Amino acid sequence: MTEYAIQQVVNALSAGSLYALMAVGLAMVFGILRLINFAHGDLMMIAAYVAVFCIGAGLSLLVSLPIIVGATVVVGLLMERVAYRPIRGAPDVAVLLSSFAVGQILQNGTLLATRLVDKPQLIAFPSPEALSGVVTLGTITIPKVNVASFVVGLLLLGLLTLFVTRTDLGLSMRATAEDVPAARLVGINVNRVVATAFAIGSALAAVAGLLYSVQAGQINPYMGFTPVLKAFIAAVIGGFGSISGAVVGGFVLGFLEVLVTALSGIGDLIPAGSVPPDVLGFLHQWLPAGLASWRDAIVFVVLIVVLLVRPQGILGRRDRTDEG
Amino acid sequence: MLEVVDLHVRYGAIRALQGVSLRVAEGELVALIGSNGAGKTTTLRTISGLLRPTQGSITFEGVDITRAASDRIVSLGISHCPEGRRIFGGLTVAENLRLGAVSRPRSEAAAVAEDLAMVLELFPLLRERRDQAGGTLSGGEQQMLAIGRALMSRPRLLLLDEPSLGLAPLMVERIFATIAQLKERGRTILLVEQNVHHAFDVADRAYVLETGRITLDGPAGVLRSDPKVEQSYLGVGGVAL
Repeated sequence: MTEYAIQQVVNALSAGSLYALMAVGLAMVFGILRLINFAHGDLMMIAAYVAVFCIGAGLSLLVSLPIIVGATVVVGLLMERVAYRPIRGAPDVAVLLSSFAVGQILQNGTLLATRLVDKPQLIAFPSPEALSGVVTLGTITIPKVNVASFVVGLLLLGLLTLFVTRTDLGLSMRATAEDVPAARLVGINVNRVVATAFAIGSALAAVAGLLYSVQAGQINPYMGFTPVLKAFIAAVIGGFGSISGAVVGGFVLGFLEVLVTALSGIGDLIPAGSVPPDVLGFLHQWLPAGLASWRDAIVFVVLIVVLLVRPQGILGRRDRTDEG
Repeated sequence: MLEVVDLHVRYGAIRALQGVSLRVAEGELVALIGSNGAGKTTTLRTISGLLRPTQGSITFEGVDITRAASDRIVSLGISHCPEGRRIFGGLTVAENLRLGAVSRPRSEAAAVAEDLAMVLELFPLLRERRDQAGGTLSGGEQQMLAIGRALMSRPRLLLLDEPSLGLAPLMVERIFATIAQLKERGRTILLVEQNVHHAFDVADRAYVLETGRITLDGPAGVLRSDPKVEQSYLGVGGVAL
């Protein structure tokens, strides 16, 4: 039972890290531009395909990683330059539509590319050696990639924290998120700050995309949709636009999901006789094995409750003033 | 030093500025006065590159900055302390001041440290509040922070927009004492102010702006006794605005 619990906690930390990595990218861009970049998930997908290419070419993970991250950052920066900067200041709906358009173009572009090289839509993800297999700690076995997701996630989020609290560019980013005109008046180059937010968000999405693909074992051009939706939820729960909120929201979402999955059918895992039959009956009735398929619905209900109690999210503050 | 010629600015259909011309010479403190909506803030925001004029030109130390980006204007030596203070409330006092110098290259680190010492000497309170979030300061303290932040870019021209707005009388006195002190030290300042009495006390010259046009200008002492100014801005029968 203890092993089961520990395994589930690791699963939650692993899922939470991936959601946090994605949510942070969404939150940084939203914080500055008030743009919900739904194409953010497609950056994960781009990273996954570049990874397949690199690993397929026989490159090691250490060599592949800079290529994967670099290519994704280039796509992210191009996205900002071509699709968002020219319409900055346009109504929110126009910008939102532009983000859907970018997503479609990336998905269809990838699909076209796979056809050109005669590959099927769904391809198996060749897990790199370093991320395959399991870690064994006594009686507990955990997939390596889950441990890696948590460790890498924590490391990158730590670096990001240093960046936004210690560097001029990081402070400029937080200042711009608070008040764009005031940021311009102190001499901050807002275009540079926006590009930086996209670059960092893309790099984090690339790493998340790689880890996610290893966990999923297969990739397709539409794989970015669910993660971006989850990241969006994580960011909203945490307090949209706040980086720390996105991290908290990511882990809350990860724990919620794993909790629902772990509790479903828990009655079957408990050895008969160790708890009173009434309790076991209760568990069988209210936490049946089929509960797991309701996971997303349950998570959404929790999201609604969180927003009813705290509309600004867990760490959210009141909105900034954009006028004047 | 600053030369604004025939500036026109529109907000959609509204013509906010209709041919504003003004100049500020080195070492001068020039006040821009006028009622609400006359275009004072618009003038400053256009000088610092937040707004684009439809016509006219702005020259600073011989450089045409009419269509320059705001961050370049800061680098050239104009710093704008905006109306409503606009400090970064979620950032600490120290971080706000650091961002004031964000346009300066790393090679100026020593000069930036000097300026920080100068600002903390000017406003000792900011030193005590250093690690406090800007949003937790009182209105007067925030105004000090906003002026301090604006000074951190070591501007050759300081634009001050309504520094006394919404402050308690005692704090207004302190802010104006600071402005007088800055002027004594040779700073060049363009001041927008509702508090016309105080503005005339510190200013060398003043311009009166009415519905997007300059209607009067001259030495502060002369404008102060101008019957029109007295009636419109200084109040009659001892009632000060």
